[in-house]
Amino acid sequence: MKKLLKLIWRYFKFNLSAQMEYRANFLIQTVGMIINDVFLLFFWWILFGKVGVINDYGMDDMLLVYAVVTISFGISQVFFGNLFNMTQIIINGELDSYLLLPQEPLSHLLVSRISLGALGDLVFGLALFFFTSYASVFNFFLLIIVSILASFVFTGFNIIFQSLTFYIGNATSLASVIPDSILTFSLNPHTLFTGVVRIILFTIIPSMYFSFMPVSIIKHFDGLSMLYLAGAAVLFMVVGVVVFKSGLKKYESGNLIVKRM
Amino acid sequence: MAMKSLKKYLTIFQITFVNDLMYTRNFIGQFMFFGLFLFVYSFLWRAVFKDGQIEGFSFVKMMWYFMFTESIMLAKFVFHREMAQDIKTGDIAYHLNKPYSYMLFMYAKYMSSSLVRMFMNLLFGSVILFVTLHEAPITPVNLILGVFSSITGLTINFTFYFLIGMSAFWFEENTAFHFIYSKFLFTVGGLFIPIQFFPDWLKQLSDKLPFMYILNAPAKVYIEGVDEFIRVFPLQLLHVCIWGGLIGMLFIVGTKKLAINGG
Amino acid sequence: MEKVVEVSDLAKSFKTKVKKAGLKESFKSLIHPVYKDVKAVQDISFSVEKGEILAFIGPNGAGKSTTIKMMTGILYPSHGTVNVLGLIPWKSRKKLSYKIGSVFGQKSQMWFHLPPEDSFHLMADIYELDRIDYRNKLTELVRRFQLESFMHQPVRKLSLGQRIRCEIAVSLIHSPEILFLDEPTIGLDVVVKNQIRDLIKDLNQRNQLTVFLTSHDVGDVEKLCRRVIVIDHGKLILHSTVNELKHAYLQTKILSLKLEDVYTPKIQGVTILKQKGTGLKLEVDTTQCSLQQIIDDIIKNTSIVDMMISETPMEEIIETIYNGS
Repeated sequence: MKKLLKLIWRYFKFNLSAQMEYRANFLIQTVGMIINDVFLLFFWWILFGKVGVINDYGMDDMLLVYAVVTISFGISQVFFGNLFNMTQIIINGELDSYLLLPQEPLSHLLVSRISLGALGDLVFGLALFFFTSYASVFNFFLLIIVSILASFVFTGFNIIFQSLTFYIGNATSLASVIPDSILTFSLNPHTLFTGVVRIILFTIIPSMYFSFMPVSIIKHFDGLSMLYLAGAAVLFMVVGVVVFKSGLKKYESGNLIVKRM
Repeated sequence: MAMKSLKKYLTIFQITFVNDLMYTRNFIGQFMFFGLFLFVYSFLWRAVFKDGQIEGFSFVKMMWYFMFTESIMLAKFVFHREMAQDIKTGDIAYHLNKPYSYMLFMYAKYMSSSLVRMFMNLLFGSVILFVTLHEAPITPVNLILGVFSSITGLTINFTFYFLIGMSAFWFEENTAFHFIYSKFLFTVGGLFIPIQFFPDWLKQLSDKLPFMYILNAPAKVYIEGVDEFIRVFPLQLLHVCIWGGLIGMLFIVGTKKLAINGG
Repeated sequence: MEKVVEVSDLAKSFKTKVKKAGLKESFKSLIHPVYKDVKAVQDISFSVEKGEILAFIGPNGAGKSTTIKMMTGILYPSHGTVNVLGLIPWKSRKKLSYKIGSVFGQKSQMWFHLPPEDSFHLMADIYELDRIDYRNKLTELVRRFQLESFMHQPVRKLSLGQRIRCEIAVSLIHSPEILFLDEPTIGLDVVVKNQIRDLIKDLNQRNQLTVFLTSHDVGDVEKLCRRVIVIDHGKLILHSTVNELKHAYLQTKILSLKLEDVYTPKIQGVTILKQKGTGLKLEVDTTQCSLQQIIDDIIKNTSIVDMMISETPMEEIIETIYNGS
């Protein structure tokens, strides 16, 4: 564990210095993401300007949602930057290089890259939080904790789908639907979703854990919900690791339905 | 004589069209994305319109509006990188030596790819909305006029894409320009929200900018029909002429620069 | 001599889906998939002694990488045993990884935009090396591989030769007992190739480093290895010393000639591969007929307009070996 943390730090430094080699690109990526996120808010600014409140959600609430989501997403992408590349890594044999090294392959491949845009997301989210009416010292600590938990929900869940590549070959299109879905649902007032959809959002598209639960914990702190969220984070990570490991066993048997050189 | 020279562009158009139709598998990813958006935003708009109409829009009209703007937005063929490559490597010289206009050549390619995608999007989107909403506020006339308006909108978009590609004559990277342009479409283009919802000052500003004539205008034509068409189509054509002309002239300046510097 | 690798009756089969082109076939395949058994490796046995440099060669698709993957623990076999440094690779992969190093010609272990130095530091963390040991080892490697002049330059700015030197050095930072080298001299010019070969030889002699070498370059095999194993279609088809191989096959030269007139030489040890008009391609077994002899013979009968001498390509040697001729 200590070694993993050491490696994370090492890779973080590396990625940063490697990508800062191209300073202009670095700035464009991070600042660009911040600008991108700001523009997403435009939609809500106009809409709330016209209708005031939608299902008990106002502009202030949406800002909080955006803060939480961008920070959680940012954490996941910064520390586990190779998350969305897993499919490619498995298919093109890059996984082998990780297997030959004395470090647990899943954690190693995930942390060996950071996403620059994600740094922008982090900055944006943190700054945005202070524009909401929920900004306070206590809430800030809550924010950090719930965002970390939510990022593990996100990471674990994506690991599951990226690992499907071991079973069905190139799962890129399927795997990319997942983060898109989670994010799209998450960046909306959760009060919109009822019935069957709500159940879906607690299971196969875990937006409830990714944004709604963290947001409600900040709005009214509730120890039980916090436990629930932590439980979900652990659950999704464990399932993700299990799916990966069993997929890896299949990989080691060589019987992948995949073209290998 | 003019027909003969136009014929080559038609051929390019045809070839690209058929070629793109072959790659229907790529559409699946796009459709999933499109379908996801329609699904999620239906919840939002249902809640927004539960108390009645706003600015002449109802829930159903809003969903169709959104479908129409996305049908164009997701269709447009992005070529600024390819064009920048052509300019940077000097390959563009091969095109300039040939007896055709590079701009029209790119236009033909662009339009064929974009139209294939647009029709696919319209088909897919219409089916989904009709099945889920059971209502379609469009008539055959509106549909045809809408398509004309969309094609014109795509043309305005083309001029800007061409401009972004052209920036390679003077700038290293053009990703930022494309990014900024997309943001304009996103906001004052009326992608997610109709211009009609904007506060007055923003409404007036958007009217003067070309972006709403790419997305908002065609979508409204589909929904409102002839009256809307008569109102916006001339304005669309105006923008095509203004920007097409300006950017065309700028291109001539750029290619002259290329000729002087040897690429 | 102590054996560091023992491979016994090793075999690996894959099931691949058989599918014909077309939409209809895709549907059929989805509902009722048909599998074909591909025997990538069939009952091979060999061993590697401590401190030797062994060549492991074969044409593409012969099963080389599959075998290496089983030796390093990335794949587990269909049957048979592998023992590397007392460990079963696929069972103790992590443990084994501390003791082996690998350089796979096409894949780089180093970070492209950063100086090699950073990659060394990263490896020190990954292999959990003691700080002082690491520093000493690094100094030693930098000196022996002559990396001082570019240790601080980004890898992308290095020449291929410099990069390969770094790659090999990086793979040794944790003082492995076995080094798996795959195509280490590919793409290098003759001078640099010899540099690398000398380095490998030096490491082998001074540090008792066992090297498992895969290469399509005959020169690598000739200059570095005492023994060679040839694998083709998953089977071990030759297991001999380099000297024997040289004697039997590498003494064959290919002569491509354009002559003044049409001429067909008839000399013991000279085989006509191709003849079209005045164009002639010969295979010369130099143990039976020296190049001098055949050229003299040709000149006596006609003039040579153009000539090219080449060695029998490795693929051909192997094919010949496989065909038993």
